[in-house]
Amino acid sequence: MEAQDLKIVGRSIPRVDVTSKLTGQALFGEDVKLPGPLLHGKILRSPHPHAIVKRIDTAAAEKLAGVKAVATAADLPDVRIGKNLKDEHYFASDKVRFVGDRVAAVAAVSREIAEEALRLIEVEYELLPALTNPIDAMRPDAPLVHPDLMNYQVVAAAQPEGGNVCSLNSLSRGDPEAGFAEAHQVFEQQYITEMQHQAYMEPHACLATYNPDNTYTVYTSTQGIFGMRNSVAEALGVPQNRVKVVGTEIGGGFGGKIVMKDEVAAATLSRKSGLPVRIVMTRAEDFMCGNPRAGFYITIKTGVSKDMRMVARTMEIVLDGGAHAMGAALMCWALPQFAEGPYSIPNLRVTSRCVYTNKANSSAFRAPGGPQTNFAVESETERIATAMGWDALAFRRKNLMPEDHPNLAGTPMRSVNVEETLDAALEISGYDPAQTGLGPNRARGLALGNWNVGGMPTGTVLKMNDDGSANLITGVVDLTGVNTSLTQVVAEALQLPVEKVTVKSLDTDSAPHAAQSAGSQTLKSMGTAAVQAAQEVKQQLFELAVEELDATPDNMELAEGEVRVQGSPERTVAVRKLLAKHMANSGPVVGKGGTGAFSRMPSFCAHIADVDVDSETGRVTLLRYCASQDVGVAINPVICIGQVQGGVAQGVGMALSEGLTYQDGQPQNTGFLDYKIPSALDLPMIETKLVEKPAVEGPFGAKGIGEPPCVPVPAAIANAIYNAVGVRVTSLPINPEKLRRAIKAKKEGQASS
Amino acid sequence: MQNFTYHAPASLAEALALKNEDDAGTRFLAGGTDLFLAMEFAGEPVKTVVDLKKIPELTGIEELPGGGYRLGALTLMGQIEAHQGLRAQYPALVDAATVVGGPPIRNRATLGGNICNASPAADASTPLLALGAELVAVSAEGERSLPLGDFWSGPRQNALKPGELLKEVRLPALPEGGACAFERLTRSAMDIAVVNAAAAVSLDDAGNFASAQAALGAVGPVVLTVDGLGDALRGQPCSPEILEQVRKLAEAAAQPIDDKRASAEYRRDMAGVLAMRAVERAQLLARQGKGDEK
Repeated sequence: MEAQDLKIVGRSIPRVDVTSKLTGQALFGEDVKLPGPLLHGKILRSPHPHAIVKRIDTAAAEKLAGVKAVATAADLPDVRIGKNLKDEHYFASDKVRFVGDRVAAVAAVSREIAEEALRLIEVEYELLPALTNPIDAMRPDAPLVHPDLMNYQVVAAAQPEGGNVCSLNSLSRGDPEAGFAEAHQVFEQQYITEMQHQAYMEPHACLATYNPDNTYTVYTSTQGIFGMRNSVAEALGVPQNRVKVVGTEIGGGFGGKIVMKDEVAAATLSRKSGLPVRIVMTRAEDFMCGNPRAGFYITIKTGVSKDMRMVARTMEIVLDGGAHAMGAALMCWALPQFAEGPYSIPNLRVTSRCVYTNKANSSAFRAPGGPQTNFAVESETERIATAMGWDALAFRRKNLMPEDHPNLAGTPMRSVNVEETLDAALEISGYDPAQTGLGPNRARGLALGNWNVGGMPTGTVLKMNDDGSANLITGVVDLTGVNTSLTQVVAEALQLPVEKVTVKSLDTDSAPHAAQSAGSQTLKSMGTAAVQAAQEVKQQLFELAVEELDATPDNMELAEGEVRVQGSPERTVAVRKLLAKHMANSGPVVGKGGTGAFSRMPSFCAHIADVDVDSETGRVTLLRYCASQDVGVAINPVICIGQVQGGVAQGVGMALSEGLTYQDGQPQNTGFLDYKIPSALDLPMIETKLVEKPAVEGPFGAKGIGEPPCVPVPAAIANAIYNAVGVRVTSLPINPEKLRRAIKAKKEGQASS
Repeated sequence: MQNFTYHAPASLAEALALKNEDDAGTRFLAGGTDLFLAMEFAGEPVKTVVDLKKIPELTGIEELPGGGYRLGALTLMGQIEAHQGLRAQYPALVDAATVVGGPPIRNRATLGGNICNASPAADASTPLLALGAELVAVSAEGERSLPLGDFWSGPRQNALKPGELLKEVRLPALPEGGACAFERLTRSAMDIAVVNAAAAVSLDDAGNFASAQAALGAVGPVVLTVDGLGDALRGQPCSPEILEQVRKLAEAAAQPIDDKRASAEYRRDMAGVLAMRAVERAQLLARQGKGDEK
């Protein structure tokens, strides 16, 4: 990409939503108000992890004063829904499959009455044995979570294997077995990670109305209004044009607000009662019924040559899918990048089994599958180097993927900036591979990470106003500052000051189709569409200026509200004048832009964690954290840095303290008292370095960066702990009790040998 | 949240009378940081709430004429945290009060409520037990005092009789050459204790232990004292062997269970580690207090 002279892109302008957020005026899911009365909806959720529903009696609840509607499976079409595999009834009809599974819903004039009504609904359950572990669920005698699995309709990449395995996916190249046979040494190890909840600040919240024209309007805190609309329409059994989804401000998503939740219940209750219905999850419900990061059981096997090359690798993953298959397809598209990491390995195979258990449905969480598999990959990089007596940094450098390296799906990896990214982290941290120790029980650990970012079908419309200002209409939700960055993209493309560009996220009736704000691709997809729309606008203006300027459009440029002839600054015409002319002749100036799916392109990161281990208690304190991030071009550097720091914080939680735990199918930590996310007090300053080298695609060469920063964190911390106390922990989280046990075991082992 | 009747009497007599009207259905409200959770999430049936915050006799931190302190039951954790006199003499209590929740909680949660709630993991209770605190309870019949160690009979169970209210906590003066320290282990910075420990020691002129008491939290149904510690340490220097003995006594005193926060085995192990650290640090503070800073 040629050098760019950028005026607005690359500046850390204040976020466009800063005033509404800081003054409390931003309206989140629970804040939506409509004129007139409003009902409060509550959901009756299964208290059992696995049971047959024999009978539901709602008569007593319906009679309670203040109750306006009760809904069950009988109020919806008898269809199974699901984006990858149609394996879920919106309301449980035959069985409940996890604690929190939706059984019925009530709308009442107050939350208290709705709660009282839930207690009056009688449900007769026949209890079934519960599966809380995917390894147990794969045993031949395990009870089946979905006995009809093999008859379910497959929608996307899910490939049911049978038993409780709702998807088996595999990719390979070369001949891993031959590679192991020829290797100088072969290493094998198992790594285990737990389910991790996104722990966004705002629990799921929605409000739905059934309108007199037989349409529904759904206000909801979601990452993607179009995906939500399609899911709601499918479950209600109505065409998509009859559902309008309005995205509210969103208090965090991280992948956890993609899947439909209580919206259909609210819509059904509104249809039955004739009033708007709001449903807000409690924090406990949100923990029970969310879509956490899947727990992985990973067996990784690596063959290395004498000259420090990784010659063969296999990775076998068993992932804890929870009660429904929504996680499976996600893991399929991410599969090609799981086993190889930022390296190049000629003989490679990765196999993934998504297994049903009686737990919350696992799905997307920031780089789905990334931190889990990176924990295995980068722990192994260090473990192998240590065992072979190699410098782990030299070992890494020898195996880094080159430009155009085809990934396991055959896609050439472009704009590979891994070495620059590694060097940036080494530079800011002063990391010396020969000196990782920092004193007794103190050390630093390194991990590289990557996450491949594609794009999703996304369209936009750019409207020019009479005065030369512009409005971008988008259907993406403003998550993580994307509307601010889009403002900069449009301002740059049209050479307008940011004050003359407004970007608004509109609803599904008003905006062209857009992707969800997920997959690190929002700015890449919508920004590319916006640049296209700006090109269309420019083209229209230039053609209008041909007469005035007596020049051809390809000799013109936009600057300071004027169209100019390049090289002749005196030959100009005001954009306003052209707009007036266009309006009179052929209507308003409007540009359209749209993108389909992009190829996947890697964004790299390199992290260095400095830890102190209290060897008597097992408690780990982070002393310092340095992270470099390959960003292509930073549209708004402060937003990029915020993304890196937030990603690291979530990775720290996964590494040290987070994990949804279950006992006999009952969730054990459905609140922040026992689901421990790191607070500011648990984190050091996260020092960041943005590595800028314009990418071959993306607006102005910007890469996707939302997900990558959480990928290498668990491995970097695990490697630091190893360097500090000589203990390699192979399961997450590395909580004090687990680490203390490992340190004790090592001491006892030394004492007895 | 369930419906309840709310009273905010301005006098002790009025509060006690309200409680006596329906003792079982009435709960006293201090900071509410435990009570409202119990009502909202545990469904504890409460018909009447008697808010104590307007009653002056229940407030105040005062040094007692013969040494020691009186702390009104409504003393906030944040007030303990900010109290220079307490910080100088009872750093174990101040340190414990400082880690109860975050600042908003500490400006709401009271010492008396924390004690009456009878959680075995209550951070402020552990140093109070190690320091030998006494409680004063009041009822229509009058006042009575009782040792803190006799106050708890199990989780969420205290020795208050029907119609009785905790009025104040009395901290005895530290013995000559005495000092105290608090230790805590949590899963993250802001958390309920997995285990906590406090020690109060005094040294003789030779620098050996003259007295020693320690308490352990979150390792039993109530906050526990480490039995036999004083006898084992009296006349001994603070050596690695003696600290090892502290560890063994603490491990023996602990009665932990497995729960979602930690296993019994780990809690027993940590009781030993934290007791050792508390004793060692209290001893160092005592040495510093004697001007023997080595």
